[in-house]
Amino acid sequence: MKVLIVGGGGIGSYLTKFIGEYLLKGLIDFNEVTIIIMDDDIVELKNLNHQNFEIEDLGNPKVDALKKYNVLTINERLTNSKQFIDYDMILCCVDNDTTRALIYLTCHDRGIEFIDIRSQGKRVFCSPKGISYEEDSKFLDLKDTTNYSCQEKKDLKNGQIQFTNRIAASIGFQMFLNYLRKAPNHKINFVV
Amino acid sequence: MDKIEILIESDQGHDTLLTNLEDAPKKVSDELNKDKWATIKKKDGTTELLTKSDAPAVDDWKNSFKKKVEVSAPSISSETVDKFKNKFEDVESVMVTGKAKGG
Repeated sequence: MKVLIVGGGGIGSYLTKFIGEYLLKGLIDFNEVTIIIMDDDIVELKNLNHQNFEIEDLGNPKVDALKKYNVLTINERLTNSKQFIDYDMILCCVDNDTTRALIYLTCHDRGIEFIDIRSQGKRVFCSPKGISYEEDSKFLDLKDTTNYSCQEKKDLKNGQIQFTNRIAASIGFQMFLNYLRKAPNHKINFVV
Repeated sequence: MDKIEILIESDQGHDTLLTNLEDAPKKVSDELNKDKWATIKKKDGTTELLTKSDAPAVDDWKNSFKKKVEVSAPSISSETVDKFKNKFEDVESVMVTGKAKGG
């Protein structure tokens, strides 16, 4: 099974760590599951307080810093459905609805599974693929092309770093484990 | 009359609105029409997540209230309201949040 994590920011960088730890301990079988992470960003100073990177990663591609978790990497931005049609599962950790819409639409069209994992400020939203694109697209604003941090600007201004990106990554990881074990998942949305 | 708690996200975390069960659908619909999301938790533990696309429009509610006092054939708009109200059967609580879009 080929699994693509899209986005290595506040959520994806921790999700990769959680999956990597399970791979290392043999709790996910290397021979059955291949994990690939795709991201085109580099590690910046502003990332260090809430993303899973260290000072020595500064200036390097985020995916390079995440190689230590035994995952394969692609240093690209996801802009085209051709980049992921060969995968079985997409773990969507992106920061904008344009890319989410591409993933939702292509996955429904091609029969690929996905789990959408989001956070913003104190909010967490995690959703497995629904029964139709129409149902899932209720959670997309197709006209909104903004990129959203997992941290709210007002919190950053006050020096308050929220933990919800790590909570979302944890819930998303459990949903992925449920998927591997053929257990059901359902949409989760809450404010802490 | 049965009351229900609607938790609405606020700067403090959330505000609690205690409302009659009968009034809850309209209040939640008003929040959805402000582009919020609402999670309805049923007494059996199941949840349903609603967005603006599930909410009847303001005019649908007006027509629905009219229908109560005027005897007329059911309209499409009142069907929309009734369908929405059905989602609140056996509801335990409702949480209204802003959208999460970050990654």
